[in-house]
Amino acid sequence: MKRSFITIVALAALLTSCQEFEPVVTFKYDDPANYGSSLAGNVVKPGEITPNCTIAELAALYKNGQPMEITENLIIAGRVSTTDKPGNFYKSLYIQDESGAIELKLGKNSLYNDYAPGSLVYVKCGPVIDPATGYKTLKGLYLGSYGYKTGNYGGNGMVQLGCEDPTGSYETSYMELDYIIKSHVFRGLPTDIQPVEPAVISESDLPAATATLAKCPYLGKLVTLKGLTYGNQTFTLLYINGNESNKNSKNRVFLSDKTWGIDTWAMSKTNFLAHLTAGDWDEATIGNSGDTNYGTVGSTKIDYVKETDPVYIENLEKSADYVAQVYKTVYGTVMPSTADWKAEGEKLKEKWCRYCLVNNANGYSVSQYFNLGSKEIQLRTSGFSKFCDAAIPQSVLEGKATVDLTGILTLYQGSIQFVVNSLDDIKINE
Amino acid sequence: MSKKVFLALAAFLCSVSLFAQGLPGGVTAKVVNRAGRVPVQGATVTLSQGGETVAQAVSDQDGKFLIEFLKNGTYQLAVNAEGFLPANVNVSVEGFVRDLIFISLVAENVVAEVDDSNFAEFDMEDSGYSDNPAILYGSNDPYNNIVGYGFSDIRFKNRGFNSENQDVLLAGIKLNDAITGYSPYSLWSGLNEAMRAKDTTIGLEAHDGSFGGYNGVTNILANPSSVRKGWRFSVLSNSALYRLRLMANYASGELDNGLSYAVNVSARLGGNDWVQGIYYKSLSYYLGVEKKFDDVHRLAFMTFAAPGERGAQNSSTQEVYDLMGDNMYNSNWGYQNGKLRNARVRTTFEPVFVLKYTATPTEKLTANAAILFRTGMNGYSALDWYDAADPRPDYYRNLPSYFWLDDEVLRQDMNRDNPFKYAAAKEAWTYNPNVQHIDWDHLYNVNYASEGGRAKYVQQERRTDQNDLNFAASAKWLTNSWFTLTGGVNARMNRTEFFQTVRDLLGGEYFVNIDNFAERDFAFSEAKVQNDLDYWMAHGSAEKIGKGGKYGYDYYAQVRNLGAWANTKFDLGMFKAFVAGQLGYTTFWREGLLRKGLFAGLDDNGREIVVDGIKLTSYDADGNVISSKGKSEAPKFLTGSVKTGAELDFTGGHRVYANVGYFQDAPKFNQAFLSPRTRNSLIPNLTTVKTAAADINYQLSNNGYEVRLTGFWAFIKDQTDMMSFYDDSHNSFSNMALSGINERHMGIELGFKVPMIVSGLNLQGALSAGEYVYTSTPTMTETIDNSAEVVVSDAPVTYWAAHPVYAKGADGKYIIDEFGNYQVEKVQKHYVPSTPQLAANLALNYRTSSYWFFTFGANYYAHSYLDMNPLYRTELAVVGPDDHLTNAVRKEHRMNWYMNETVINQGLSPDEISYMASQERFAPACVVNLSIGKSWYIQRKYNFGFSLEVKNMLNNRGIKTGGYEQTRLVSSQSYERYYRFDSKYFYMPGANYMLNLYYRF
Repeated sequence: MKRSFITIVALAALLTSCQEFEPVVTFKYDDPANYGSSLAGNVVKPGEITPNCTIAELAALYKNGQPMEITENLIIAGRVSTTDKPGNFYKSLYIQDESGAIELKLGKNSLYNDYAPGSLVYVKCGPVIDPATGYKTLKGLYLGSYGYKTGNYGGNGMVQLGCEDPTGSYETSYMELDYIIKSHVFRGLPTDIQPVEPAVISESDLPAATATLAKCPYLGKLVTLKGLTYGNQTFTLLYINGNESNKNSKNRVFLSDKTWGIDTWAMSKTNFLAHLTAGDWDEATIGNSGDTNYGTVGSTKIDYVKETDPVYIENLEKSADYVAQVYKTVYGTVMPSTADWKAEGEKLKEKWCRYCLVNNANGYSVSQYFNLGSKEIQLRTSGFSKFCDAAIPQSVLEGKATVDLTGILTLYQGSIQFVVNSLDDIKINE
Repeated sequence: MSKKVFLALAAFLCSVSLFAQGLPGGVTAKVVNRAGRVPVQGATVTLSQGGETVAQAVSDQDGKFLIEFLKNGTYQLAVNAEGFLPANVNVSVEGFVRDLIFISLVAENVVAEVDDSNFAEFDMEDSGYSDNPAILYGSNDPYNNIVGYGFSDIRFKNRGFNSENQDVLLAGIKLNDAITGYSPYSLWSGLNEAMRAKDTTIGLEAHDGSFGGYNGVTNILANPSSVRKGWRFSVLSNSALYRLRLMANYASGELDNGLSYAVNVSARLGGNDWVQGIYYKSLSYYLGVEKKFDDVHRLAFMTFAAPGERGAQNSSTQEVYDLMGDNMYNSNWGYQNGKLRNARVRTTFEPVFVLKYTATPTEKLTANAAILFRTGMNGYSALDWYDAADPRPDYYRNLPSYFWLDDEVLRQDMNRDNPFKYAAAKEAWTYNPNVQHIDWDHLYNVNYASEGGRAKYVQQERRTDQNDLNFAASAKWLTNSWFTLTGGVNARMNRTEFFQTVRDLLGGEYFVNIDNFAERDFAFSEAKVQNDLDYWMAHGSAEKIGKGGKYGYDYYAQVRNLGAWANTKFDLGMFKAFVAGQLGYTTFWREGLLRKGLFAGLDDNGREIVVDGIKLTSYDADGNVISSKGKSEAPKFLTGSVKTGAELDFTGGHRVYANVGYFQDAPKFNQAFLSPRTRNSLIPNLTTVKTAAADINYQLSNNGYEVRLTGFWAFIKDQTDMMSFYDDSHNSFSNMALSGINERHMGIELGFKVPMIVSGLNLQGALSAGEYVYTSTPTMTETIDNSAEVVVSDAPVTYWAAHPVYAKGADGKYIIDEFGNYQVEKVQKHYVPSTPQLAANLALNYRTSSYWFFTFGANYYAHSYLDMNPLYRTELAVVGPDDHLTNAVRKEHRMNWYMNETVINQGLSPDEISYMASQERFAPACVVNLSIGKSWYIQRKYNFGFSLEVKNMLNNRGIKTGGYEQTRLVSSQSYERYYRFDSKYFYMPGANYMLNLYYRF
């Protein structure tokens, strides 16, 4: 019996692994080492990676409209000039060296946690080779451009580094995967933060529609523009129905050429709904330029509604409850109990676009136009930025005050665009 | 046999001796199993007076015994039988043979041990689904004996019922969780010895201590005098749950001074061979003391708890399991400084205190009263993050399938067309532990680098701390030989605080108490994103939360129950019957302790709250203020239930009985609120759950043959369900409230034990074959925590109970009739999930006279279904973005599954229905098990033994034990349809062992 007992206990002990008892015996887990000392987490010491190429030299490899894989072992280094913390940059960051700047399409949220403004970033652009086998484990990054367009109204865009986009929708795609990012993108020591100082530039430094880094070294760089005046126009593209392609002309409403009552730097969902239900955009036409046979936001053509959403029409004719629900959606208030629901239903038929826009409400990017001398500059902001609903001071709107902007200078189809990191980058000159 | 002969002889000699004295007094009774009143043959009956044995007898094959020729006076009658707990009865002899009618024995749990810790902690909290094990106990029933433990590996739910339908009593108090209704087995997990004594009923059977429901009653006696006398030590090791369990138990039995006491302690420690990250660090204790004051009064006090930690197991998609080459992969853990750490840990310390008083003023009247108080903490940790990347390793955007699909049509329509990233993701998942598991080091380093020490990642703890006060009283009165009346009252007052704390700052210095879900949409308003608006208004900034601090949400769930029940039993020898009824009253309400910026409600003076020109007070569609703070409306439910049963007993141990009942149950708190974390709003159409149930049974118990065959039926109406899950498309928790869920459960169960030719060899088996289906079209309302909007309002879940399957010809094309309509081949039912609807066991059991035992058998499981996501059964999801159905077509389709080209042109096709609405059925599985054990008796005093069980001997690692559909839709490039997210699964461990060594004296 004793022998059996010992055998059984010994067997049980043999089958036990130490690791499974770690959570049992660990009452407090020790804090992991800081990357600054451990050099883990893709952090590299100074000199461990040596750049062999400037950003301008890399960007110069790109030919308009021809995204390309970087097949050579090219290494660039630069300091981060942007932050996505306030939410105006999204899934990408810019780095710059003496020669120029480039956008890294990392494809992750909250990049500032790992890539703080002023931190040093190295990018090994070429293919990743397994040192043990000599085999290529990852392709090289792709150079491409966002916003390049040919034709009379076209021009250059901004050079980016990302991955291949086999769908052809864009010239490059986001890196997205940690594995890809960490195979190509390396961070300097967390203690080595040197904030990028913006270059103050003037109208003459601004890029032409066909400019490249070779011609305009400020492209993609953090710069300050001084003394801009408000251009009295915005640009916003609304999508009517979330269940239809954003590319369909009849699913689009352009708010352009005037301000459309938008007096904030950008527009949150709440602000968007406020404008809609106030009727600020009722006059805006549905469809791309030259394709405006669908009516407007406030007065959609009934034939178009019948074709697109006949149930909407039918329900408005048959159901008082439905009319009341649409009424509340469209006007933001409860339908008076004394109202004639059939008459209201008739009126609401042409409010279909507004009804859809409310149901598909979201935060929207807004471009506010400013002028620097004779040059027009589009200030781009995101509807999800933390300052989106901050009002543009009345003095600016009325042209009584100018603004100084600090941000990233880019080109989009040859037009100058400007993206600020935060509201602090907009200085009002009263 | 020699013992029986000796006892019979002794009884005979005593009888002869007393007869010679010409004494007419005596005592007689029938010894029966409390479960089913089956006669117990061979029970030893010892009559004593003043500690001296006066007479002994042994019950015959009908369970009867007779002791005659007694002097007048009071005697103590002790009844002992193998497999049953001892029973003690006081008897007054007054010059005639007193017929005690029945002495009911409670079965000792002779089947292998099963308790809450037999079930891994499945991490389903953010999925919207729940998985609470339903445990079936033995009670010497041939079916329950096998099913209770034998099917626990598949998480079997008897008759398809959830655990909230099973009444669990402790010391006579119904202890199902006040908030969820779940069986509260975790409260005494690991205390197998102290909680071993139970009396149980099956299905609708009447129970002496409560009204019971339609899914049986388990009453755990828990008093020290019911704990097995003596010392017992055991060491248990197993490879599928926790490595080591150490247990010690001592019970005094009833001492001469009427005192009994018992102590039971245990520790469960370690992980297992199959799921990394699962571990137990749990202790359990039980202390009980009981005093019998005289022949009438008895008072007992018990306290117990199971404090400790359990690491939880997460489910993943099949893609992840395949990438890891392991169906038992657990995404909840990672290495921190090289040590394994689980992010999802259940930490509990919920002590329970029970005071129970029993009075037996006469032999025919027994009364009990008990007070039970449960308190303490129950926490469940999880990672939380603010403005940082999703740290979950198996987040769908990290997986290869996010970048590439083999099916060309799907690849194009779902825009998953990047083979390079697919290959990279696959490579990373294959080789990189920081991709496969949580990268704790990275989370810490993000916090280290964060400006001002503000933590971006924390480990939170979601707390559910109950204060639960219960009272129950019952009485049993044997009015005469054929009529027994039992009845009782009960009351419950429960206050459960739901809140969230920072368990670990992960290297950060503080966490900020804002609603990071709301910040995305309301970043412009600092007030709106506050979790504690009152604090923000008083201090001008959100609170900085340190370790242990509360944040996020904090509210009380207040529940009050009152009940009364009565049961009348008739016993006319061969014919028995009962009629029972119950009345109940339930009310509950939410009491918000924080004012959230999003649902600020009205201020203390009843005015709207406006901050910086922004109105924070919001209203629902009916114009009611939506409020997070203060008391909600308190719905009230009056319920009534009745049940009745009849039984015919035949000679030879045959018994036929049938029961029928109608039950009303109030909805539970956790099913009643749209978004309890954030607001006071109740779900629409809240009503009582109505159940009609019936069963008919045949039972045989004779000469070692044990058989039970049951047919059962139940119809459950008007259930509600509330699913709350993290939805990263909304960056928030989504809440789906379902109303009007009806189910029908019917089937048969068979249990048998048949002696074979060889002595000690038995063939035993169990079969549960049922059909548990949904029968209604419920309605669904969906809300999001960070918005007052109702995303889906009271919409029918058209394809919940069934979906049409349209006929196809030999060419694979749909058959269209002369009118252009598609032919419905069948209406495919949808099934109640998460349990096999067909489960069977067959085994050979051999016991030797030298105390060896062997059991070798196999279980077969089939007809198991995946938990359904209601969203996938709505027209919204099935028809897709191109929903242009006219009202007439929609109505026609709902009525008779109308389908033709018109319907297809309006956006709905047979393929879409089949793809989106179908329910996954798991493949059948067979599991082979072997048990072996032996006991050694030393000097007739010490007992040492072991049992070794090898489960799933064929090492089948592809058996799904559960899972769920993710509650998300994937958009298509064509805008014509939606796609599903991949489902997630749990699997059964492969070959595993459980070894138990015990020593008792």
